[in-house]
Amino acid sequence: MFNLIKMDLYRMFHSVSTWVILAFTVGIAFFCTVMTNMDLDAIAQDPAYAVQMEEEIQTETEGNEDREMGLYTETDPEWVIGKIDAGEFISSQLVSGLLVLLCVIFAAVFVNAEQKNGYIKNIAGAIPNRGALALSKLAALAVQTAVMIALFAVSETVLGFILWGERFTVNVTADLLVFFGTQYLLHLGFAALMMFLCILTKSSAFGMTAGILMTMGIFVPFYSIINRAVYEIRPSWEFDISLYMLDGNIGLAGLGADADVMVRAAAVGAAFIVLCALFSMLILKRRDVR
Amino acid sequence: MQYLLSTNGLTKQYGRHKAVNAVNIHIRQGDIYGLIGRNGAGKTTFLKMICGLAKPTEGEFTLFGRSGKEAYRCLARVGTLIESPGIYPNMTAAQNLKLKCLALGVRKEGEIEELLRIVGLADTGRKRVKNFSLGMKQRLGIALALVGDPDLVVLDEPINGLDPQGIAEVRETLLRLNKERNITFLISSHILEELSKIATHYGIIHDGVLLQELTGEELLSRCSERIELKTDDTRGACTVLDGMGITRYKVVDTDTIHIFERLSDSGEITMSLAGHGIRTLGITVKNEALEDYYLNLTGGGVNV
Repeated sequence: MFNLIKMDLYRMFHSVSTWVILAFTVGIAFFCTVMTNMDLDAIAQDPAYAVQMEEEIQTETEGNEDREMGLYTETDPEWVIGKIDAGEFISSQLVSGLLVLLCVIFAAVFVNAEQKNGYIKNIAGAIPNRGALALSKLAALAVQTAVMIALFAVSETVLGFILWGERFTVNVTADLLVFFGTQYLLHLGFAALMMFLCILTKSSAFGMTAGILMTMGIFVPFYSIINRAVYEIRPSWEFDISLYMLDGNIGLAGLGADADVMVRAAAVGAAFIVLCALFSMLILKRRDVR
Repeated sequence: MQYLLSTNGLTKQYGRHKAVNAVNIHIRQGDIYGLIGRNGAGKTTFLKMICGLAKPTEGEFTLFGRSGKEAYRCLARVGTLIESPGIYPNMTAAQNLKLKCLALGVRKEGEIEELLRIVGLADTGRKRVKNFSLGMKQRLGIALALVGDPDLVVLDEPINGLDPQGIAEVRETLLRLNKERNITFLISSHILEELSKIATHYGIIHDGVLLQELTGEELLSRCSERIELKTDDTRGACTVLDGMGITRYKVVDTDTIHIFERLSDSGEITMSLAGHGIRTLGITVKNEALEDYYLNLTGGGVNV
């Protein structure tokens, strides 16, 4: 098992896709920071835009009922003249799901490479438990996801200092650590889901497309149908399936969210990681290598 | 341990189709075992089962004297090259080998350099595998199969797509490894003439069934004789042969027929042909080519 993890980590750090994704992570962090700066300029010039922003932020933190398709980041109007907290700023970007997109793409490319080029045939027979191949990939994805989140946060912080100077402050609090931990689990949950889909379908295109669409909120109408069906069966039960899905929790588990929201989000992330790893192991173990 | 690898009724069924049907092969330590069969005969499916890549529907195999689940634990001692070499195209040859070394926990100093030297890829340096020729990729596949000093190496069509020089290089490499390291090889191929240059034992597989298992000497002796009949009326000659109860014959060209049975009856055949007014231009007993032997065995060339 440890040997396989070493193999996948070696492959990860020697793959072009790893470095391309990391470069895009830095690029997106810079892009988001610059866009926020432009938003702040717009708010300063148009107070009505500020009111609209306030309303959007309020809606986002209350639940998923009004969730729209697509990726959106919010800019707090108070940042125009006040201090900009690094944690809140990074939180507003991470909860948008932008980084999830990169996690999804990397996971699909990385996991499927072994099947696609046939390298799995060299090792699958020689290892005692073929299912361990799924765990080694998950370990590599865990490292890559951690590096991506750290790089994203550091890049935004550096550019934040450059753009806003002393107005940009960094306060490392327990809430911030909980936020990063929860978002890490959710992002890794997405990566694990991609791993499972890629192993199941043997297609990186399928996993990647499904993951991207999920991040963009394409499943919102389906969640709505399920919620309505549950409501018809049991009206007293205020069931919302999106609260138990990865895409539904990423937007809610921002910095400063309620403890129960963070606990639920972390549990959903962890559950997806465990279940996807188990099912992936099972498939690899039972299915013939072709 | 009598055999290094033996199979007992190994079967693989996809739906109703049996890709491999109750195959029993026997390989001793130091053998170079050639598995001969056409495309789609079931060679790759069979090899995948004994490499642990596919689960048999029925039957089992004994590896290094161990059977059942115990045999699967011995698969770390088996090197494999199944179908085309599975390699990362954006990595170098050394990096591809390093990956397998890491996966198998091989920490031997200089192992990668040694393997690259054995297969003649020592000077590829930082060149990425995607820029390799087909022959170089095939040799890298063989090097991957040799990682971890395996006792048995399974190679599926290792000379596919190679030019004559590449084929000769691979052949020399395998022979050297067999002699110097006493590595046992199981090689599948449909290029019989090439396989015959290195194999010590043969298994002939057709439609998933192992038709025959024989040593190199046995194969040579069985390939030895046939009657070559030259006549100006092959159609009429065939009718005469059918009338004599001879069924194992092959029309090679417009004036030549190869007869594979009743080799001592050439006089009787000539008389019978003359009796039907068919001229015999020549009749001789000749050796049979390996390919012809295979075709006759699998029914591919009889009564063409």
